[in-house]
Amino acid sequence: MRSLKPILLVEDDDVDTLTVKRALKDLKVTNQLVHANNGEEALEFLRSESNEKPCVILLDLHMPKMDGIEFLKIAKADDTLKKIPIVVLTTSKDEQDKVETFNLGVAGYMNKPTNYKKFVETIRAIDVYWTLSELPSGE
Amino acid sequence: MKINQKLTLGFLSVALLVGLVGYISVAASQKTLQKSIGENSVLLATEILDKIDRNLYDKIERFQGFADPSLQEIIIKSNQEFEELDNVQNYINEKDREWTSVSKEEITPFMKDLINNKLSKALRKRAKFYESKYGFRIFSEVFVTNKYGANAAQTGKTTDYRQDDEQWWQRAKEDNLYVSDVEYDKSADVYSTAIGIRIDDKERDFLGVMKVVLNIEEVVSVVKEAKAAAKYETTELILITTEGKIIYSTKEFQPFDEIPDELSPFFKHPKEIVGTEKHLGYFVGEAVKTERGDKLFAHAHSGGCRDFEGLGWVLVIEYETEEIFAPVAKLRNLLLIISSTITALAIVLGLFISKSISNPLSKLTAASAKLGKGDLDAKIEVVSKGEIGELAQSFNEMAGKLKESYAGLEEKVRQRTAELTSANENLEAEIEQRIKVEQTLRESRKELNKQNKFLNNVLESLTYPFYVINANDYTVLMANPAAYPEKLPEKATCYTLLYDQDKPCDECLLEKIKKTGEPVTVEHVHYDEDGKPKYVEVHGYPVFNSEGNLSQIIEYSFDITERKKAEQRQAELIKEVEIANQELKDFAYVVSHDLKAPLRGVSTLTEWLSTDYRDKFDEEGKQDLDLILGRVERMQNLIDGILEYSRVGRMEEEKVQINLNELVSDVIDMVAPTDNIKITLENELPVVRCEQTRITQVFENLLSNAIKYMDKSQGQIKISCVEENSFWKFGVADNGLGIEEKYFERIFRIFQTLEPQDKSGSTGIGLTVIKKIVELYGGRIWLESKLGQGSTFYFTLPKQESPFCEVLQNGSEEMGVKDEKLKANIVS
Repeated sequence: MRSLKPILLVEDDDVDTLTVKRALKDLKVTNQLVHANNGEEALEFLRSESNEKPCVILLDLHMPKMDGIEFLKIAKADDTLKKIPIVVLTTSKDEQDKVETFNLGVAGYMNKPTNYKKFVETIRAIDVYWTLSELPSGE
Repeated sequence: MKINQKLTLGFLSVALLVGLVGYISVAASQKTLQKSIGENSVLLATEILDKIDRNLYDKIERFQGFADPSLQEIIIKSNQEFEELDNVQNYINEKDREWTSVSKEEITPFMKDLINNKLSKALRKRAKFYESKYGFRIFSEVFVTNKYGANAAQTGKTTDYRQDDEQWWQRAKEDNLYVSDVEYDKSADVYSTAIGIRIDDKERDFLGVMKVVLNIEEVVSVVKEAKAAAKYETTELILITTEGKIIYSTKEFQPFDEIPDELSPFFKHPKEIVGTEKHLGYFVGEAVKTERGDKLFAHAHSGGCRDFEGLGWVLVIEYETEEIFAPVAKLRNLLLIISSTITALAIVLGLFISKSISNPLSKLTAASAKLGKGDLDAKIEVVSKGEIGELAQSFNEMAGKLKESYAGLEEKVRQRTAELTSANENLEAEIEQRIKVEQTLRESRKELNKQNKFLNNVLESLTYPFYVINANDYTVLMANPAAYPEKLPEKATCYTLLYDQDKPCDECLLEKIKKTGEPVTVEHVHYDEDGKPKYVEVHGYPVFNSEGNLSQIIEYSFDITERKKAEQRQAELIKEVEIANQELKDFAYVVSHDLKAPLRGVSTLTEWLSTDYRDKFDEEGKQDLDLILGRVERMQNLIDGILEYSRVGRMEEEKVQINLNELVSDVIDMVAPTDNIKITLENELPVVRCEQTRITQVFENLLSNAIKYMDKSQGQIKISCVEENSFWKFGVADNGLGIEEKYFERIFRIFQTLEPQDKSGSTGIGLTVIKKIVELYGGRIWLESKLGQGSTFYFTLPKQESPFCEVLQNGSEEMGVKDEKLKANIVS
């Protein structure tokens, strides 16, 4: 990633979390990975003054307590959070989910492949994109 | 009534009228006479009283003349003497005690001094002068007091010395003059009254009081004179005091007796009438003591003279009415004689005249009766001249003429009879005609009754209520037994009779029809005693009268309670089914989704095992790991299939207008056929309005199947569309493997593949999804195939609107082959 700010992964599945960690490691991405189990934990992290705001949020949709859609609605309504790019990383291929999340201003929508190699490719794509993409400064 | 009776009655009436007029005039005269005598008598009484008052006043005036300066001087002297006394009252009291203690006859030296002083002598002298002048003592007992009420001079001995405690003394001091009521001295037969006069000096200061007892014999003589001068013999005069006591009466009386009973209701308290309108007047009262009939009373009240207010006496003059009304009585008797004479004359004259008229008339009657019986020779003997004689003459002439004309008449009668007979025949014919018409009318009425009966039967047979209502006042004019089984009460309104309500229904049919004039159907709900709803569907049909106004309404109603219940049940069931369906859909979706997560974990971990520990596994272990991965992927595909299948119909997408020519060309790009496969459009596809994702899925799945199962080196896939009735029939034909007919149905079932899934990598969901979509759109899908030669999959879409899709038009003209890019796509 261009920035050295942390990456926030909002994901309830342990294996998926491990998968992302491993993929980032394999790709030699050095940004710190902060893991939140659901939307509530993610908001808690984001709203704490002592925590550095992440450069990108990887968001699962189906989670307990607060799911991805609910999280998006709150985050995108919050002036301090709405500029942080959020990439949906989910198993859902549902058209409805895609439409709804893009309406809520997500930066990307990725399917979690079953195959690890494909998973790594996906993470790589994200990494490459957010390495190239300019972000608003001063955040 | 016969003519002589009428005449007699007429004469009698005239006589009675005369009598009546006489009576009325007598009554009027009597009233006038009574008024005249009454009023005159009141005047007379007033005059007499005036005379009395004047007489009294004259005397008083004379007495006042006593109080000359010489008298004043003596009183002043007496007053001065008294003023010098230490205690005037004690002195007077002492002297008064002395005065009254001695006997009546005894005269003390103190008294003697008083009686013989200068003033007393002068008084006696003056009294004597008047006595000699009038022939009797006018002024008896004259005396004077000083201002302290003590005697200063006197003509004789007084009863006491002190006078200021007497009423006359006080009243005279206050009012200048005091006149007491009349008194009567029986022994002397003398009427008198006491007079007190105040004596003042030149400065009008009080000096003392002078008292005199005045003989008023003259008063009585005035009354006596009046009686003597009276016009009527029965005239009597009575003078009464204010207390209602007799002073003097020309009849036998005792002085100061109570007034006679006949007057007592009017003059019991003469005081009370003073100053009112009653103090003068007259009236007729019944005499009590005499038997000579009523009396007329006239009365007046004494009004005084100048500053003398009078004694308030009342003078009553009475007359016996028999005497005063004697002229009237004479007149009445005369009238009675005259009217009786007239009556008698009238009767005699009436009888005579009536007889002279009725005799010839009865002869005429007899002759007429004869004539009437057919005796044309009947004649009357003409006796008298005048009208009756002329009448008899005329009668005789008439009888003659009658006889002459009778002969001609018979001929005429014959003629007329013939005419009448012919007219009669005509009439009979007409009657016959009428009878026929009536017969017809009866028959048609019978027919009408029959029809009515039939109609009634029809109405009675109806099991639902049927009734006719007056459009103006809601009254039920007719109702069949289903509407109201009993006899219809009069003037009952539809809402009371049928629904037991006291006002029109909320959804009143009548009101609706009034507004529109059109037949109307409404639903009513009524609640029975248990509160259970009863639904009624009411149909109303307007009936207009000849003027085109709404006059009646025909109503019939159905009990739709059962239908309503069924509808409600149905609605509930549908809702339940919908809920169940939704739950099932959500269940499939959620389950598939949640199944995927652990599966992906297994897959990832297995992969890591096979990479991280590749060196540690032997060949068999590696193979097993690969198998695990394969199965996991298959599981993954199956779950994806379920997801995809369940998504159809779960999500509703917006319908958009789609040109299928464009869409299919995009799909062809998407499925990316290998170079050996050629996909062609056989003809133009229509433009449809439906969900883009679904229709894309249909073509994508069909085309990918065709590509997947292509075994030929020159693959041919042809897409076509034809119109078939109300449907578009699409076809996708390939020259691939082909399918045995026995599998035609099986291939549409979920997860059914003809080859092992491991081998083909297919889940068998594609066709199932297509079938579901097509059927949701209201179409169907089927195939024709020959093994080894290829298959053609057909599906239809309705042209008209369906829940998901509607076919608008054939889009070939518009878009079609003119589009170069599309052409290129089709060719590829």
